[in-house]
Amino acid sequence: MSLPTSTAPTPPKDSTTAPEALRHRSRLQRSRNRVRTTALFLLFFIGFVSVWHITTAGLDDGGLAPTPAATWDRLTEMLTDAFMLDGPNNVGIFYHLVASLQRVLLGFGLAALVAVPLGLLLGTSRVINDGLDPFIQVLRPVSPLAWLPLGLALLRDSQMTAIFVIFMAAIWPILISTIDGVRRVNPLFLDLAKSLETDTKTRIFKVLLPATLPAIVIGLRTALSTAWLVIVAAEMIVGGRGMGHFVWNEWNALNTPSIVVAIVIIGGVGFVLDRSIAQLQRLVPKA
Amino acid sequence: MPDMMTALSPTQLEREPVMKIEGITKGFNDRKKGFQPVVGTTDVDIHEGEFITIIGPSGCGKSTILKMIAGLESADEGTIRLAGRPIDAPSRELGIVFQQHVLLPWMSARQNVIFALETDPRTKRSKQELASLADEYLDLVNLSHAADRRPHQLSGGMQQRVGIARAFALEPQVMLLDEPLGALDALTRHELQLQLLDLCEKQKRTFIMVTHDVDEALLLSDRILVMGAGPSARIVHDISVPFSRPREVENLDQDPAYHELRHFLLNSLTGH
Ligand SMILES: Nc1ncnc2c1ncn2[C@@H]1O[C@H](COP(=O)(O)OP(=O)(O)OP(=O)(O)O)[C@@H](O)[C@H]1O
Ligand SMILES: [Mg+2]
Repeated sequence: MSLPTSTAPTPPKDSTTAPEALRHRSRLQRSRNRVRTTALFLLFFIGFVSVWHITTAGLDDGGLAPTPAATWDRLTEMLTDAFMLDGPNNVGIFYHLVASLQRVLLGFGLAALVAVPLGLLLGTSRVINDGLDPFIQVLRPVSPLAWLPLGLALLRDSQMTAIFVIFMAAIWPILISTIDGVRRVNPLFLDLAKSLETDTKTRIFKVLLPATLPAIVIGLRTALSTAWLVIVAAEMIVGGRGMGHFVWNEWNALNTPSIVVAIVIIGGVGFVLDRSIAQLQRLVPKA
Repeated sequence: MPDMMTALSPTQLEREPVMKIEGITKGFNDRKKGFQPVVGTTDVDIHEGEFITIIGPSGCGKSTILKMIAGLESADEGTIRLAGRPIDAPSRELGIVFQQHVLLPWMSARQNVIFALETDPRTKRSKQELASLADEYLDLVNLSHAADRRPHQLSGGMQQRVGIARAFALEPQVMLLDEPLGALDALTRHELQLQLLDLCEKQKRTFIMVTHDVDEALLLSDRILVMGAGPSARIVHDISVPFSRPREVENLDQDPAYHELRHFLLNSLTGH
């Protein structure tokens, strides 16, 4: 929180003649609001931990329910051992996280590589789209996890299967959003491209793609968060390293505080992933 | 002949027209009402260097005719020939300025003009050549100062001027303008009309322009084609505009012939 200090910041170059006093007051207002939200957040946090403590501490369940204290201990432990590499099956949380991220980014990247060109094609060609649409409509509502056994049977490799499942999770949002984006491109842009006698390559890369980019980024964002949702479940089944596998393992060891820590990490990383792809939206040209 | 009072010189009359529109018709299929004829049989000869204006009631098919000339729509019957060859696809020989601005929003004004230049398959130009050529054409419409701005940072009038600069940059045989100033306020429109007048007198080209504005038509054109109301709208009058060039608004205003023509056009538009 930056409370206004005596050193007045230099006014911006294109400063209008807005009275300095007014601006000072609005800055004061903003920092006051920030103090309020922070205080409210702390209040909620303390309330949450208290309720958590009251409901779990002293519960006669053999220590199954995670208490705040046990969770805190486990958190520090997991963070200190984060980079531990003790045999293939006993590794720190960092390596689980990296394994999950790897699968997600691979599956997501492959999905984008397929879905964006395919979406551009289906968005431009009514005929091809109408032929393929039934497939899309039927396959899209299927949970990506339903593909997992098929993946295991056909690929005979758990790593590849996990990537395949992520691929199936990520492809639909990108495809649908791209098709929709192409359809919304100003038809006059295409008339312009035609009247300039541009070749197909120019038409696609200089007109269609940039005009569709905002829609593609929205699709990518949805796809990435879906992929991050799905990976945990997929890893519980395929095993190996990964956040999902870690959670499932800890459950088998009845080590519930670890699961709470893992949930917080999964949530935090998901948040960061979403934020970083949202940055792409800023690079996209304004229409 | 310093003060020529006829629009067409004898040599122009003898020469082959640059564009021949022969017996074109056009209609659209409506899902409920079936086939709807829009443009009735139309024949026009357009000579090199002529400024032609098409004027007519809203919805009569002016844009449709211009799109057929541009090769963006095909005629149901008849042919349009450009320098003897039938137009069957859009071509760089036909520079279009659209009714609303069609600037690519992710490019600056300069890049939009460059885009039109660099896509020319016949001439390869270096980056510097492209940029300086684009700046030249932007300068022609007094937009040098705004060359680096994106379309959303330009006013409506500036956007249309970039579109005009881009069409000029193609150096087309025929310029097609679909109400290029229609979406602008009266003051900006008048200003751009004068700019366009200046431009077409400096850069002798063939123009076909669609407009609603009788004064605009009289100020700019050598010939005015008046279309009747649809369906199956046809050209009902083909008027030569006799005023000498270069034209000045003040001179026109003092010319009784100007007011007579203006009156005639207004009457024929409102259906008398
Ligand atoms: N693609 C199309 N499909 C169906 N009907 C069309 C299509 N394009 C134009 N029309 C119809 O053709 C008629 C003429 O349209 P056009 O745009 O050529 O008119 P206009 O003279 O340019 O009108 P305005 O002065 O308002 O621009 C209208 O009735 C319009 O509804
Ligand atoms: Mg029109």
